[in-house]
Order: sequence, then C-alpha cells, then structure tokens
Amino acid sequence: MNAWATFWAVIFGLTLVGYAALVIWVCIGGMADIRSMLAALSNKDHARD
Amino acid sequence: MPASHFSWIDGLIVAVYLLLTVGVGVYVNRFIHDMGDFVVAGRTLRTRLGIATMVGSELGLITAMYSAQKGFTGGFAAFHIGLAAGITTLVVGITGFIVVPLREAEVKTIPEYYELRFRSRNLRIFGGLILALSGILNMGLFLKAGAEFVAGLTGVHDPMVLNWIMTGMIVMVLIYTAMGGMVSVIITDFLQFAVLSLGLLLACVLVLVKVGWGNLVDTVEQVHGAGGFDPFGEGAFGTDYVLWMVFLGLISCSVWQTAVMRACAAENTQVVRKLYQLSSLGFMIRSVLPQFLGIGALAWAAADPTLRAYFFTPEGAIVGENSMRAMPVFLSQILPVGVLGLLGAGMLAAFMSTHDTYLLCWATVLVEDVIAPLKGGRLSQKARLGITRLLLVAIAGFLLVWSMWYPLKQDLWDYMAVSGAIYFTGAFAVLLAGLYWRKASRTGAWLALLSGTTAVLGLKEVQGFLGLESFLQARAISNESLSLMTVALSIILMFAGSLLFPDRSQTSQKETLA
Repeated sequence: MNAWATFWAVIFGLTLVGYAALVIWVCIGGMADIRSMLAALSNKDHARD
Repeated sequence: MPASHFSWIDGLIVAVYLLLTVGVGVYVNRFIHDMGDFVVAGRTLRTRLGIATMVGSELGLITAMYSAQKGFTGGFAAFHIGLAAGITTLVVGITGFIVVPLREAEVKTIPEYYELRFRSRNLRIFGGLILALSGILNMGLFLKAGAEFVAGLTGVHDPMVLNWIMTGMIVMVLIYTAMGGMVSVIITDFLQFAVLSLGLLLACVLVLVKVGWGNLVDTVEQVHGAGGFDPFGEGAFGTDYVLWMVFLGLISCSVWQTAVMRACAAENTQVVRKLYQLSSLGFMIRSVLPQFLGIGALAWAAADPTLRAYFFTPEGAIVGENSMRAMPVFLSQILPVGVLGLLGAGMLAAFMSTHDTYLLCWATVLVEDVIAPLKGGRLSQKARLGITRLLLVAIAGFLLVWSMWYPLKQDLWDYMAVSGAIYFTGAFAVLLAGLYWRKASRTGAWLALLSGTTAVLGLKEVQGFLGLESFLQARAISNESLSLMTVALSIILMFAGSLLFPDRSQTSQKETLA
C-alpha cells in the first residue's frame, strides 16, 4: 500500500506542476491564436465580397 | 450542514464573469457566415487555442463533479482513470490513431465519414441518430450535477431557486451558442480554461496546505483500506473496471464526437497530432485534480461530526446519494472569499462551456447527418442554420425535463460511460475497420452499430425494468464486464459481417481481377 501511496503522490505532483506550466503557455499563446482566427474569418468574408 | 462561506463578493465575481462570457459569445456572431464557420470555425484552429478549447470543453463542471465523487468514493485508486486517459490520449497524439485519417477525410462529423467510406446514406442517417440520441442521453444529467454544485457551494438548497438558476444558465448558453456557433464556443472555452485552471490549481494547493497529504492518506486508509490505493486490489475497482477505463480513455479522445470536432476544426494534421499530445495532460488532470478535491472532501467530512453524519452511515459506509455534493460543500468551507468566487465562476463557466459544445455538437449531427440526408442534401445553408438553432432550444428543453425526473441509481461517471457507450462501442468498431481495413463492408458497419446499442443494458434503470439485475448478480457480471462484452461483440460483428457480406464493389473488383 505504501508503494501505491508514493506512486500516486508522484503522479499527482507531476500533474500539478506540468499542468501549471501548460496553463501559462496556453494562456499566453491562445490570445494570439484568437486574433489570428478572427482575422482569418474576416479575410474569408472580404474574399467573398 | 455547516453554513457556506460564499459571500456577495463571490456572487459578484460569478455574475460579472458569466455576463462577460455571454457578451463575448454574442460579439463573435459577426464572423459567422456559413455552416463551415458555424460548425468548425472555418477550420482555423491553431495548437494553443485548440488545447484550451479541447481541455476547456472536456474539463467541465460535470467532469469535476463526477471525478470528485469518484475520489470521494474510491480514494487515490481513482487516479487510475485520469492516468489511463492521459496515456491513451498521448498515444493517439503520437500515432494519429483514428483522428488523423478523420481530419484527412475533411469530414465535419463521424456519421459523415460513414457515408463517405461505405457509400450508404442510410448508414449515415442511422449512425447520426444513434450518436445524437446517445449524446443527448449522456448529457441528460448535467443540470442535476450543476444544481448539486450550486447548492453545495452557495448553501442555497431550495429546489425551486436551483431550478431557476439552472434554467437561466441554459438560456445564456443558448443565446451565445445559437448566435456564434463554434467560434463563440472556442473563445468562451478559452476564457473558461484560463479561469477554471487557475481556480483548480489554487484549490489543490490550498487543500494540500490546509488538510495535508499525510492526513489525506490516513483518511483514505481508514475509510477504503488498501482498496483506496491499489485499483486492482480486493474491494477496489478491479481489473475489468481498469480495462474499461483504458478503453474509455481511448474513446473519449478519439471517437467521442465533441473531441473529434476539435480535430476536424484543426488547421492541418500536424496540428491535430500536437493538439492531442499536449492535451493528454489536460485529459489526465480533468480527472486527477477534481478527484484530489474529492479526497480532500473525504478527509474533511470524516473529521467533522456534522458532515460525517450527512456523508457516512453510522457504520462508517459512504452514503452514495449524498457523495456528489461532498466536493462543493468542502470547497465552500476551506476556500477564502474571492478564491471561492473565482472557482465558482470557473466551474459555472465550465458548466456553460460543456453545454455549448454538447448542444452544438448534437444539434449539428441531427441536421447534417439525419435531416439534411433525409432531404436528399437539398437543404440551403440558411435552412440548416435555422434548424440547428431550433434544435439547440429543443435539446435544452429536454435536458431540463430529464434532469428533474431521472432517478440516478449509480455514480454519475458510470451513468455517463454507459449512455455514451450506446454510440461509441459500435462507432469504434466501424472506425477501426473502416479506416484501417480495406475489406470493411457496409453490412459489417450496420451490424456493429446495431450491436453497440445493447450497451444500454448497463444502465441500472434499464436492468431494473428488464429484471436483469438478479441475473447479472448471480453470474457475477459487473457493468464494466457487460460494457467490454458489448465492445467485443461490435468488433466481432464488424469483421465477421464484412467477411461474410462484402460490398458489391469489392466483389466485382475481385471478379474482374480473376
């Protein structure tokens, strides 16, 4: 049981740290992606006109 | 029940945040010009935004609620669910299994692929119907879980007030989803991802500080014994359950339509792979972090006499029907003012975000794969958009009714797994053979989809109605074994049906060669 408890502690720790890093990276880059998505949709509209 | 610490400041944070979400959703309506923009955002999705929207829609309030419930009722051993989901999503990202060929086929939905691959419009209609019905049934109890969360977090227990809050939220979702389609879904998912992730990470750190890891381990040992740590051990989940979770992990990222929609909306197949590889962590945390909060709730409830009387029987067993409320009640006790509002806003936005994705998904499937093919494809873009919007309202109405009267007799997660299995067991077999086996035939696909519907037998209500409960108990057949048998049956019938009844074009090809 101790081995399992240690295993889950490691998994949980890695998950917490890894996810915090992912959140920072996605939040910063996601804003740029939104701008580019809206620009692409706008251009598509202008191309139709 | 101790009073919630939810204050007017928290309420204000929630209200401002929800209104902001709806405002953004409505604003992007100006970018929607056709069904392609509405359903797959013009296929303009890039990696980081893709991750946010994938995790944002898959990490919803409902996921948090059923995962926390699993942590409460299963202890640390429940972490295997997230681990299995993370590993399988990573494998899908590396190999491109199912999702890359689907993106290459440039389909918007999975039933559309059925028609493309098997040249059968009827198969697409049937597949679309099964997918939408299973999906709508699957989200049938979302409102119930949402109401439990609001009640636990805010301390508002009046059912009438809760019903009005839930109805108001559904109406807000309808407004922005019906107007902005996938573009508004993506942007609101992004906002929700940011706020909920921050709230969840903060909550986990606070639980570690206030309750302590050692205390959590001791409580799980007292309540669950060794089974609270070892998922394969006696009195724990068991091997068949773990295998079922591995399969569900694979399905939820590669076959479940709401996740596949993200792959279909991606800019190209490289983005699809990257999206899945990086989202694997998201698929893992969506179970593990809420489960950890559920374990925190277990330790908190076990130590507090008032909560103990509500969540445990005098003999020390967990009261199943109250277990879903444990996590929000716990959070309402330990989180400070402001953080409670932030997490509440994130969770409620997540609730709306899951609804927008699912409502849009099932309404789109009904229009694109059932109604339009029935009309012989002669349905204008304007008519499709109009019907989709009407269906969004109709499905939301159904959810309000279903949530109120369906008596949930199993853990929410298990209900959702079984209701989803009605579609995905058959769909998995059809996609597996269709994408990777040249000889896959139309008859095999029909047999696989039909046999997949037998997964409905896993619902406790259906078992009770058909008198199957005692039959299954006498033979020690668990729900998970039953579901795995359905998967095996669908795969066998897909391959056997294809070999015994090959498509005419394949037969004539062989004859020509001979």
